[in-house]
Amino acid sequence: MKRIALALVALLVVAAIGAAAYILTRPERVWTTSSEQARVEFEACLDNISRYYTRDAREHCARAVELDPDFVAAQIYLARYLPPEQRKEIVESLRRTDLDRLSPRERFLVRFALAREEGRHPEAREMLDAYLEEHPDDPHVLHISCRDHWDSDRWREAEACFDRLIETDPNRVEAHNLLGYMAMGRGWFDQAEDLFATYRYIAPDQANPHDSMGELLMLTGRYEEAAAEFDRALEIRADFCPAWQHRVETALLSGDLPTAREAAELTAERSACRPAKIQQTVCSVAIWEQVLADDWPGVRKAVEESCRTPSGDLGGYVSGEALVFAQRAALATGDLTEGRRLVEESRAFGEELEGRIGADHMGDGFQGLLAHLEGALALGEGKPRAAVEAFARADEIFAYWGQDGLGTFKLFNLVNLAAAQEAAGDSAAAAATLRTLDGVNPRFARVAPGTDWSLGTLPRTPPGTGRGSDRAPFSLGPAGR
Amino acid sequence: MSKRRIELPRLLLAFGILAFVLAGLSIVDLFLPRPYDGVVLETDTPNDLTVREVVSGSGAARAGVRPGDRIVGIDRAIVRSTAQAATLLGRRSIGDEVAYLLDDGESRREVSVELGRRQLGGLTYVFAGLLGVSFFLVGSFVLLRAPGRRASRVFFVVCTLFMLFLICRLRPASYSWVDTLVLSTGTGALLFLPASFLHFFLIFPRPILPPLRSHGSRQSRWALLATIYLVPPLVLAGAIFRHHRSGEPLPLVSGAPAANWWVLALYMLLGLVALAANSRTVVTPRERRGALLVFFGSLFGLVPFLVLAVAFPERLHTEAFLYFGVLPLTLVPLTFAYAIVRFQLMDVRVLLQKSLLYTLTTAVITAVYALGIASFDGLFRGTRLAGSAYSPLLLALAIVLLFEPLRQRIQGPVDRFFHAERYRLQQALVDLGEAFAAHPDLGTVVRELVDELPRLMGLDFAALYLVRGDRLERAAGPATLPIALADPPALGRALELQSGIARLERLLAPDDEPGGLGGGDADVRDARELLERLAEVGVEGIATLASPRRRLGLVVLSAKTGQVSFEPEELELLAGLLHQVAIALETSLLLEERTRQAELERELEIAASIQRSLLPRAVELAPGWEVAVECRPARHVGGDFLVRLPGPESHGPDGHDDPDTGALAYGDVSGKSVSGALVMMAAYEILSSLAMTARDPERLMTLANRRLHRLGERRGFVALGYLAPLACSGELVYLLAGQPAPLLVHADGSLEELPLPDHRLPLGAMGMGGHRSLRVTVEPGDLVLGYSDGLIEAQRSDGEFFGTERLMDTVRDLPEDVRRCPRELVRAIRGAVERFGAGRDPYDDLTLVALKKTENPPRSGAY
Repeated sequence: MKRIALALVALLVVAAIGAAAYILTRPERVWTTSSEQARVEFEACLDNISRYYTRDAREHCARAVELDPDFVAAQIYLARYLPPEQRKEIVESLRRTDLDRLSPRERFLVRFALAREEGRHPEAREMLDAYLEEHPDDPHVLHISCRDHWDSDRWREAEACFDRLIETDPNRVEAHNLLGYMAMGRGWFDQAEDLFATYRYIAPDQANPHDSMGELLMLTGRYEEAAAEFDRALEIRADFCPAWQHRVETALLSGDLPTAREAAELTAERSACRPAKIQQTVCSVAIWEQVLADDWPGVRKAVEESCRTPSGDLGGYVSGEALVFAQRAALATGDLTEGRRLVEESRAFGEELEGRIGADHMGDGFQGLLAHLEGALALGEGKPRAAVEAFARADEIFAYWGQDGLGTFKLFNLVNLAAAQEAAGDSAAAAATLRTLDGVNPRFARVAPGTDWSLGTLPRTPPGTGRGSDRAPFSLGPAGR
Repeated sequence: MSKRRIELPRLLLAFGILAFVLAGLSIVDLFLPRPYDGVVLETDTPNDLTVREVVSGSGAARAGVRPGDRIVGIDRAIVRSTAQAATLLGRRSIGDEVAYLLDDGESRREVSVELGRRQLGGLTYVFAGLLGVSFFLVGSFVLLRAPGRRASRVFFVVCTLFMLFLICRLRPASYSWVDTLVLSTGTGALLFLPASFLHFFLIFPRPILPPLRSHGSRQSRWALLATIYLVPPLVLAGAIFRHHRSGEPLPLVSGAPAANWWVLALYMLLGLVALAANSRTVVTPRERRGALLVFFGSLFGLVPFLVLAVAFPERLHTEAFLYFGVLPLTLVPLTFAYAIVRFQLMDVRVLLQKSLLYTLTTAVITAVYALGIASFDGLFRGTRLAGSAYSPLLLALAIVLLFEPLRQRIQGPVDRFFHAERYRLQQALVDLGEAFAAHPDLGTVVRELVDELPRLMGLDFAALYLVRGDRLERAAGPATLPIALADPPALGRALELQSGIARLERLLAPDDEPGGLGGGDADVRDARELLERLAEVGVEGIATLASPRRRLGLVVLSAKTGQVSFEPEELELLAGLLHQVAIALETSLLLEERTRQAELERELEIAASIQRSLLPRAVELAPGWEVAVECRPARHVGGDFLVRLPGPESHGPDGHDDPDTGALAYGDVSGKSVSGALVMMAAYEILSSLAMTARDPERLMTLANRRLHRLGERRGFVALGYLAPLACSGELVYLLAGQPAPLLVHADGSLEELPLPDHRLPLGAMGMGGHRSLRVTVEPGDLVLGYSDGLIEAQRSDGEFFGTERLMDTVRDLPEDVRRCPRELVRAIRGAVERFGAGRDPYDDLTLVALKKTENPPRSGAY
């Protein structure tokens, strides 16, 4: 009897160990689908999202939903890329979903998506926090939380969240990318370079890390290295729009017009950029050809021929860059009236925009642009002190990167501030400003004329725009893409 | 019972061998060549991935990795720990180019490193492996030495699980397929290690639970142990089930759910409490020191482990202190080992002694060799000698020659360390043996043996059984032992084959094992039954006590209190001691016997003197009758007796009563010496007392027969002769009950045997009486000779009896004056019988009665 009891105990123990080993070693079920192929497609969708390959991500998610129409997570991610009417179907489907059959993460995603869809943003945020309270190490939802902070301009929260995400999942690439951009925006270029290097190291087969690193190198004057990074990004993904735009910018900043022209043509030919983006690139090259030739009437002509858009925003120009150079060309050619008109029009547009989307969602970028235009006008009107004040205000608003301003545009503004300070007789302040500029990008300052501060001899300014914003031409939007 | 004892250890050994194979697999796997980058990391801080140095010519060196660089990523993944780095490298092959991300403090850079060959197992793992294997060997050694002992079986399980934990759980992850198997096994070991610890503490150094006396208590113990062992897996299963149902991932701390770590903590706590309680029950300071050492080792090993390796990871979500938690855990086996070696809590000293001896010798040799090489280089630097390849070789040869003398030199201190207790025991046993020799008193021997031996040898008890006939009777020892035991010869034979002393376990070994009680006959079965009976009451060893003359008894010994087995050396010492005990016991028994004999002899002397005092010195029976008597016992005291009784009442021819005449009764009781004397005394007393009221011989005999018969058949019977001269008539009344017929010696020298009565059975032989007296007329000058059968049954050395004929011839041949004088006649016949026996001790008592009628009866009133 005792022997039998012993054998039974041994059997029970072995069975318990076997069960424990099985459950401990088997992969965790996080996505609920009846189709293994659908799961594979969905994983590919997520991978492409992390690489910023939007089109591919959408295709994979769509295939996943085709393979398993009840695949809730795939539906949620697909909905991001669908027009409102199609999205409604998915929302209805999500409302009907039996949540009990889903994993905790999926249950959260459904509730969160519905809350967002129904405009219950604070509630959605609370859901996020509650889920993370219970599952602090779920990298997928942590990532969503970080992006939520990011998209809502809660930078400190976003930074802390991405730090936590890296701690939880050190190979989560977007955390490195966005933390890199934040460091870059603050002027912490070494840290940004480390983060982009890490990003590039983890995902060398993706185009975006090279593009991000290229942006930093371009901002800091390492144009050749930047060009190499953009070329590498385009080797990986020939239609990668940001890399084409940045390749053109780099060529312009380094004064290589033939390359810029060629890159602009290829952008139009090969890139997956939307038409507005392509026009921005064409506009930049057209402006800079004239700027480098010191032909300000030509600049006016180029702006009018290549940079106009029927939208009416930004004075009817395709980008902030076009607006700035339209005003600058008007002032340089003595057309103060046009210079003033553009300022007034921009101010009115800003007020209209604020009324339309609300001050909270508008950001400071437009105010910076307006301040810069005002500074330029004041300088043109012979009011250097007012110009200094306006350029300084713009400098405060602009970061070296971010939705509030473009890094190269901040540099351009600094050159103008230095010119205004010199014009105002404050040579020491002008020298300090130039030292600051030198510290960021020594090559940018070197191309600026040191003595003649007339508008006709302004330094070769960067095209500035086109940092991958899907929201507005003057806004960088999501980092890199 | 013995069957179970043999099977369970085999089962455990099979488990141990399987575990050992797994551990071996883990070790082999770790020491197989695997991809290596050539980077040596800083070791001061766990999981610091800062490069301390780069192996020259390695892939890292070629790639430009520099000391001070911090490895941020390997193979396109960010790394945070050395284990993670090992994982990533383990996935690649030798010769692969792997991308590294390095941070030199100013910037990060990417390099491509070609992986070379390297074995993953390092010095730390070698240490853990050696420790684990050592414990397995120690556990196996203990189990094989005492497979029947519960503590040794549990200790083996503890050692095996410890080996699995050290080798399988603490191994650096190689992330091969072996990892899953080995790490799961290590986790399983970790699951059961606390249970086995608790189990061990419940029975070590003494069982804390009450002894198994009934079926019910056995069941309860089984239920308790099953619960102890099943709780951890059930908690694990519960945790898995709970998380499985909720669909949430099961959080693990160091490979196991947090709940299991809390169970482990609880078990450890309970184990420590059990050990603390247990250590208070031990008697000797030595055991107490050992138990306390194990207690503190467990405490200081387990508490940091539970705090740093369990509580911190769970509460603080960091495993940064894991290393510092696991490190003190090695205190547990180390203190166990020290306690075992130093305080002899387990019988593993031989193994460890040899290991230590050769390790020390090798260490000294290595040090001497290194010193020699260094000195040689220093002395001869710059000369050709310094560069010679022969110098180290010659030094090595010298060192080889040094090895054996050095080993002998080290042997002494090592022996003193390991055998200090044994030397003390040896001296104590010698002293005890001398005490036995000096005071060979049975009581002292028994008391010293039973009281002192347990104290000296650390036994629970000892007992002594002495041979009494065909049984062994307990002379001393605890009352729980049987009072008496059978003494099967097979046991004696088996013990003789093992130098007189053996462990029960060995004697009960199966037939095919040497030393066991082989064979299936009844004698062997009896012996096995006896041993199993002794085993049930806690006896572990038995020894025979035998002097050169005979087997004296059996010494039974309990188990040792420290859960250890008897060492062969101890058994040898004990055998020597028991030899001295046997001699002392034999001497004591002989002295006791001699004393008893002397006392008996003295008592016999007294009895003989009493007997002699009972014999009538000068007998007068009736006027005109001359009487002579002789009564000589064959030993100190005899069975023959002679008593003067009041004679029968009679009347003369003239009608006058006879004067007060007497009668003479001579008897011979069956049995000799003391027993015969006692019956004789009884018969004497019966006849004397009855004759006071019953003077008639026939009535006297009837009554005496009845009384003697009542004494019982075994008490013997009395052959009696009764002679009573009648003064008035001149007749002789005689009655015979088992005695030969008296002789009538006429005055002319002729002889005749008096007629025998029809019924002449000895008195007491049968319940019925019926003895009849006869009368014979005796003429003046005639003589009647009555005698006991000791006369005619006297034997010569050739076996010939003296006989009636020879008696009659002797009487006839006597000179007339001798023949006619009763006293001379009696003396002459006695002399003839003694001469016939030629100095040989007479076999039977001898009684002679001679009655001579000297004259006619006087007339009435003559007195």
